Amino acid sequence: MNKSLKTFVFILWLALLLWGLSGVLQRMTAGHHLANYGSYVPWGLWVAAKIFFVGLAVGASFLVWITWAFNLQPFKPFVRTALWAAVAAMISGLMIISFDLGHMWRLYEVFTRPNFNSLLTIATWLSLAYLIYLLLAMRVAADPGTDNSGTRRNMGFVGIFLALFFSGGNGAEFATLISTNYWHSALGPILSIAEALLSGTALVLTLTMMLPSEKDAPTPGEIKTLSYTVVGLILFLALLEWSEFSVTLWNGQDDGFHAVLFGSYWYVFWIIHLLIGMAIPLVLLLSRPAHRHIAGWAAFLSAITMMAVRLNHVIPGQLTPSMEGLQQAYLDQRLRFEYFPSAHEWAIFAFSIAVCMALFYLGTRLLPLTPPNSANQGGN
Amino acid sequence: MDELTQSSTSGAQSSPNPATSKPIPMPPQPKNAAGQQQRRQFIGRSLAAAGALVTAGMLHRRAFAEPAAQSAPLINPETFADGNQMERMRIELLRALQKKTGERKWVMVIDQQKCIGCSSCTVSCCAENNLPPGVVYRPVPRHQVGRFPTVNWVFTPRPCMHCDNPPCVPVCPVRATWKDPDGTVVIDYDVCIGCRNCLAACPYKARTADFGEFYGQATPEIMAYETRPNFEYSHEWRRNPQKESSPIGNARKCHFCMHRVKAGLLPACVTTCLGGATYFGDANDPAGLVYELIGSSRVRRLKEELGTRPSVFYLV
Repeated sequence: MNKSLKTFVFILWLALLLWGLSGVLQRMTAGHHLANYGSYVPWGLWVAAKIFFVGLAVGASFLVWITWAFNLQPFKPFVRTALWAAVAAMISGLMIISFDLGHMWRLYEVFTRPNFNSLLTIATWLSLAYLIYLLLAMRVAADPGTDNSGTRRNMGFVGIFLALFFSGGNGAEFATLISTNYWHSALGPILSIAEALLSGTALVLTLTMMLPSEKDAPTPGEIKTLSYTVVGLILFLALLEWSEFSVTLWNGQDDGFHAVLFGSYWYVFWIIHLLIGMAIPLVLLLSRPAHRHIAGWAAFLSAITMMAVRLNHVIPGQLTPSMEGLQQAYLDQRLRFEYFPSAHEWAIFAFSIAVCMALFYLGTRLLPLTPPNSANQGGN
Repeated sequence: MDELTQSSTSGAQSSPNPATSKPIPMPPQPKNAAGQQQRRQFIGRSLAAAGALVTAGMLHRRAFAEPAAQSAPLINPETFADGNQMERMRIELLRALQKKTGERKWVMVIDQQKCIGCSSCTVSCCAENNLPPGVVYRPVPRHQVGRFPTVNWVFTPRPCMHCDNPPCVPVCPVRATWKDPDGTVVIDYDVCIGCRNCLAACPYKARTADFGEFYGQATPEIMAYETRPNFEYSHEWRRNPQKESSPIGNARKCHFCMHRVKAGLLPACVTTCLGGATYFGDANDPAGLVYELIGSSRVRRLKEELGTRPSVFYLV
């Protein structure tokens, strides 16, 4: 990473941290008073952020699992970086969702009196299990002395299953709710997996820009492979989205999808997601796939704009009144079918990003994330 | 009117009109002996007219016997003490409480033809449960039907539906909500973690979250009425503005005023309904009012297509 980029990232991190700390202080003193979600739109930015971070974690680690399971040489240089990025993202995801709880100190009850009929319980248990599994994988990846290719292969296969189950489960958490037509789709879990794989893989490609020196960087050929993987995942997600949107909107019935495409926040889908998150990265990645910085920035756009996709997944479905006249029946700020995140909510989101960045940076400083060149050839 | 005044002052006789129950004015009669014959003729004609009316009435009843039975109210208030359905429901409530837990099933019936949209049920519910801002158990959504000038309001009071297949229960990650044996969906405030998953899962938006707000939070003092306890689930719950203790942070919802029901009282919304539109009782009591009502062809339930099987029935 060159010095100017390093300075820019540090200033950005510091700003996010300070803003985020003010949000945390507000959350601890004022509870949920400053948040804009309510009872008719009970899930807002923090829930979207949680599935965003979890998606990053699953996607980044999936790269590791397939590398280990199928002994894929081109992805080996990225293994440790991907694992640690996944750990950082997972911790941030769990942290931000705890802020969303009405009683955050009762979170332990999900483990002491679980209801396994609830996908939220399963997702929480899997989050913890996945985090532990990631740390175990870190331990295995950081052990160049022993020949543990068998262990890695087995961990890879188990990891693939866990990642798909976990990520699909996150999608199913919404898709199984009959209350909201917009969510209640069989394609929901598959979309969740596709979004996770794209964002996680793009994150890993982004992080190749952040490596301390050129000598630690993957070769152009390896970057090219990763770039084309991101391209493939973008196209796969576009295909799924086309299927979901075109089928649902054929008769123009669903208010949620209509809100996404033509509602007040139409630009989130058309500009942020389609243009910045898909079209521009596609052009950049296809034109300069082996260029570390261009590919890295393209992947960064794709990874970061996935938050817009997650927001579009969580929010619009809740904006459709479930009963005619319900909002007018009892007037209160919390009883509206309207939502835009408050500054306080953005601050907490900023804090979680700052924590994620700090964790990743600490990893680059304290952990052997970039293996010696010899290890690049086989160890990871 | 002038004619009526004139006839009454002249001492004229009048006969009741069965259609209007108003006296029919008769022309003034001469006060002499010859008038006796006219009086006899009048009595004779009156008897004949009365006979004709009785015959016509019998024929009418026979001709329209079936439609009349269909359009008659399901419950004849006259068959109960003073026609007081509230009293009947209270007596039936006490009878249901004699049963063992699980043998009764609480249901609510709301007659939309009787609801006048006054929202007194909403207000009484807020008062009974001391509800804070943003928490409502029984709003009364209204929507207009028809096209001008033939328009009408439809009021749909919406308590918790206490579904037999409640979507909110299985999604709770900590088993803080369940359907009790008497059919009421309840929440354990001491367990709920406030994830609001149940709010997202409820198709009726019947659950609201308590975000810890007070009506007086932007004023110099929070008034005492806001910190007075409520007695939901037969416990004393005190909301404290200084800390996030239950029910602050919890999901909250209508519980059919179980604390009142256990004490032999009808839910607050039932007792305060101006139109007498809300009924409550044991659906397992064949002699009960709600048992009869939910057998009506007018019965509908909200969003039945979702398979939630609500315990709140609407008479449309």
